[in-house]
Amino acid sequence: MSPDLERLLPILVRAGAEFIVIGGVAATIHGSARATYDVDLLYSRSERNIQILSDALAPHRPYLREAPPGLPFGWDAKTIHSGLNFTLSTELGDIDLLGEVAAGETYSDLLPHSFEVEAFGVRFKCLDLPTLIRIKEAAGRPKDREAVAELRVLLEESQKKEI
Amino acid sequence: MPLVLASAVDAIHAWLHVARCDMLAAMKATAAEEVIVRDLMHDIDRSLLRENLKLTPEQRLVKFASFMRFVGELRRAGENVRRNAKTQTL
Repeated sequence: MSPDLERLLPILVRAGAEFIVIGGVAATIHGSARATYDVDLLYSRSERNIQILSDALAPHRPYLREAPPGLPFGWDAKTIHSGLNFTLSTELGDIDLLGEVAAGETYSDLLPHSFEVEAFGVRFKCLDLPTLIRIKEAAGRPKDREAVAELRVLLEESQKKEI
Repeated sequence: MPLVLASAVDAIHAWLHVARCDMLAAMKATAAEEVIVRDLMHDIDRSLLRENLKLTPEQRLVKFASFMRFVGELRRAGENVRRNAKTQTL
């Protein structure tokens, strides 16, 4: 299920969650014309933020995507603390909550490479284009090749626009 | 050269050879990946991207959200068609 960004992002921002939008939605923010069916969020692993994410998402019934129904999966701070990267389906759509990305980089590592975006009445952080390309390349997945090619073209086009 | 020292030198040479081969293989893979991505860049429709770049980030997100709603509608319509076809077959 595609993410309901108009609801999800304001819920997280108003709860005070610390996260950076990465992946396909970040690519969209940079001008990508590709569709994406989930939202990837790199979140801070601080105790406070884990509690905020647990409280903010719990009412939207997070469940492990692709997991068979009926598993004893509870969405709480303890679960987030014990795990790292979660692929969730929620009533707000599919959300990938990532504690780190391919090269092992975390929220605090990539924070200096993010910028603020204003949309849906709130401000949140999005990964900058060169870093987005770098982490996609670091992931080294064949399925990302077209996305990397498009992002590189976007970088060229935005640089042309700046000149 | 004493025998022990000679075999240690051989072992180091063997290890260096393996490390060099691993490094060359990694460089070859990276270079091949680069060629693939460069090729794919030729097929990207720049006009779509230029249109998107005229919008603000917020406008891009709103456009994306509206497109995804449209995709959702199409998906639901497809599911209905398949469900109806199944019902008629039964």
